[in-house]
Amino acid sequence: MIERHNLFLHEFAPETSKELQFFSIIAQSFFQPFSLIDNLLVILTALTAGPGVGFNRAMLFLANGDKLNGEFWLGPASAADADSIWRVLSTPGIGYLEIIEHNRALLTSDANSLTKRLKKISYSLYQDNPLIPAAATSSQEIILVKDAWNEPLVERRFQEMIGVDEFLCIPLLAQKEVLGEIILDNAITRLPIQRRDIELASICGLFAGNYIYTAKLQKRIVEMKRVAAMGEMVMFVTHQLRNPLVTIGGFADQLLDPKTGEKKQKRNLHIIRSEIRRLEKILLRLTQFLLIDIKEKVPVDIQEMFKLVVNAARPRATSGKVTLTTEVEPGLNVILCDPIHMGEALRNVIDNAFDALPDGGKIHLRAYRENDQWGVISVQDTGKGIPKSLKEKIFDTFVSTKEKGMGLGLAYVKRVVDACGGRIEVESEEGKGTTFKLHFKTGERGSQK
Amino acid sequence: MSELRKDIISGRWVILAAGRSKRPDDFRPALLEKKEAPAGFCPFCEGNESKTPPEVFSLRKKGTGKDKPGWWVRVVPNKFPALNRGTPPVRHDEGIFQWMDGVGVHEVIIETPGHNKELSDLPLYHLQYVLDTYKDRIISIEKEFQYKYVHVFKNKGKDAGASLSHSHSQIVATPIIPKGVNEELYGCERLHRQFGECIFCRIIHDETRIGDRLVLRNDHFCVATPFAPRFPFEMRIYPLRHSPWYTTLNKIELEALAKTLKIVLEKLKNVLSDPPFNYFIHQAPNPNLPHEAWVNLEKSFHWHLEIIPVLTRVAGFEWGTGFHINPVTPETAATFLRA
Amino acid sequence: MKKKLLIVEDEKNLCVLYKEELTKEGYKVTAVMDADAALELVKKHKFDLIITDIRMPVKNGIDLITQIMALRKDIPIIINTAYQSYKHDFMTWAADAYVVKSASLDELKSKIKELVG
Repeated sequence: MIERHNLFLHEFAPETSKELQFFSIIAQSFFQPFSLIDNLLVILTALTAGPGVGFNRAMLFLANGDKLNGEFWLGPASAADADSIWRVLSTPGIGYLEIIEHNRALLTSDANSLTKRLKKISYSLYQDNPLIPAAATSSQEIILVKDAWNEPLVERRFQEMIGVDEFLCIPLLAQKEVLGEIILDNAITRLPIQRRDIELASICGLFAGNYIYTAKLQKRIVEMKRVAAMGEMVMFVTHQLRNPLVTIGGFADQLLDPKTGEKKQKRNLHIIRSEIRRLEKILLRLTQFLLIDIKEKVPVDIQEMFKLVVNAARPRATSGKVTLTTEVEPGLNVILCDPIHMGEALRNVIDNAFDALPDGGKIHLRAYRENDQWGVISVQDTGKGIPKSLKEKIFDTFVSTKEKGMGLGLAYVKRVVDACGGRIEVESEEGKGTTFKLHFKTGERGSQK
Repeated sequence: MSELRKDIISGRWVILAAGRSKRPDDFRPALLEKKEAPAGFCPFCEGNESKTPPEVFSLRKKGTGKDKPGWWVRVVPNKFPALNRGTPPVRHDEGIFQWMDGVGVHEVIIETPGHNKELSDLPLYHLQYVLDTYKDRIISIEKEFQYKYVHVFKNKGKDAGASLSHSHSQIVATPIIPKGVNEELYGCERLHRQFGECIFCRIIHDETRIGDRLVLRNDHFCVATPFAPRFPFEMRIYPLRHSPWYTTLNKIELEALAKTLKIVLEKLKNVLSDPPFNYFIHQAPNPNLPHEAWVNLEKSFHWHLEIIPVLTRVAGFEWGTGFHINPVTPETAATFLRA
Repeated sequence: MKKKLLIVEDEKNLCVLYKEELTKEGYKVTAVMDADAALELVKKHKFDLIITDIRMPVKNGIDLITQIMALRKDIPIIINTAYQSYKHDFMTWAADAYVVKSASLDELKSKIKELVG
């Protein structure tokens, strides 16, 4: 007998311990597309979700260079505030996800006076800073402060801001690096902080530290990729530009020679002009490629887009003896993407198909539904196919089968598709043909980012 | 079963991920290379001396003239020196080619007049000529005070970065010390302070005693796989007599080195089916220059030769941060190589 | 007697440019756009100098010059390419000079003069 369970078991039976629910929520955040702020929000929410669970308020500091800066302060600003918030939070049937949404709205709204106050505060991160709250990070320990007003180690401004007798400082660390700090208190209920609370909080701190570290690593990877691409880019640009430059230079020199006849002069100018156009094309493709900035995905009418693309390709199809056909599955009308880049990307794929049909053939554009949420745009040609050795690399930058090709076309297409949240794949058989499949989210559920 | 090992000199960590037990068959290079010159022409071959720049050194038969046939070993400068970004990297010291643009010396040592002979095919006396040539050229170049380091290396096979199949080595002299050598120099200095002796001498002593990684040992040299190898089947040839510089080798030692190198090359050829490989000499910087950075250079550093086969089927690989993963333990490698 | 040059270059405009400019310098210039055609010509005629690009479709310049060397070792050859990176390929030593293409033809012209006068 087999029992299947959803990976995200957040429908707990009443007897499930609060702790289990608590950590389940936090751990689930790993499955979402990674957003540091969202993940930290989940943690702060889990810590403050209501009376009797964890704490009343949670304050988050993030380290930046050698400073510890105030970022968020989640929780009711006053007892009256608390009342209304907690009433909402204890609505029967409300789940953690709704609570998180509620808190997200709270944190980003102007009305959040707590966060406003916190944003003005920052502390120096140096090795033996004895003052609380920075002390937790310098000594890398959890610090529980009792009778705070009379504790000399507590920094004055901080104490005035937090205004409670008892609070808990949890440093956020990873690999001995200080990443931030969370400070928790029970300002409203005034319940004493118990050992159990401290244990819960410390585990949250470990999770939070992990998230922050991951975010940093991701940033570094992106940076490294960019630097590597830069090096490639420089080589690529210099190589691409050299031939046109030599041509322009040489023919321009001729123009300066008084002995050059008029016919030659005209010819040279024509050549120079066409080389300049070529340079422009190179630049255009480069910038297009580099500056893909897809801000908003909107529903795009597939029929319309196909019509435009086919019209643009018609001259080449006629002269090259290529039959161009389209097919759109009935009912599948829209896809989510950026219309300008998408159109350009499709044009690139079709250009590729033409290149594979030097002696004519067929190109078939198709749009169909793959499942509930996904649709596919496919471009199929009956051309010479892609050799196996090249198939893996075909979407890499600067890979081109054409001796003088730029190798940017398909890499651009991949970037566009990726940026729209989709994916691209290619099927090909040498001698038979090639099919490019672009997977996209269909717009049925209403457009949203 | 994976094992983490740290190289005591460089401080580098290596993961030995020896999975199922490997047999020599697993290491055969993917493609056996063709020997003959494409279309039958090679600029290094005897008879084509006019295609190379004028020689700066040669060992030749009596009565034969400069830039004419009749030589055993011939050294010429690089014909087209250039700024080289796209050069296949010499594995240890990436960045070395950046210095060839006018600043450094770059010479090619053509090791044999015939196209089809490799170093391991040469009779001992000829192999010794090559080693003598290394010594001669290093001494000559080190007289030029701006060259801090003279790098002698050999690439065999396309996969190892050799653009020609005709047996040759290269010498590059640079005004800076390559990163890999620098690491070693500092490491040795540190360890000398710690242990009071040359770490290589210690390694030679230990490897001889332990035996698991020893490949061979004779009166003058000891060959072993390193404790924390970055690449499968990499080997080190250590001189028994402590010296920071290759150039201090005397006639008898050069003879012994020729013998040792020939055996090592033959082992590689037989055990790994004639793989491509790189080897290089690691020695101390130019002795004619002051070495403030290394106070105990003479006592702490010991020249040696590192040889690394390029195995495409069972490759090690390196993560961006210099972390290496090697699928073959040095003990396993030594066992196969000793046979 | 005019010196005979053979230019192998796959960019049409550059072929035109080189032919014109070098004819002006007093050479007799033949220009072809691929390596196989060049090889055929070399087999049939005597040239005083060959100038070739490296990156060409079908057969590249390095293969071309090795094949030429197998026919006649004494023909001077200049490699004329947009790429620096081929310098580390020792097979290029079959040529006598390696010129990196630039907008000014001065370097190429001076190397030609050096080799054939």
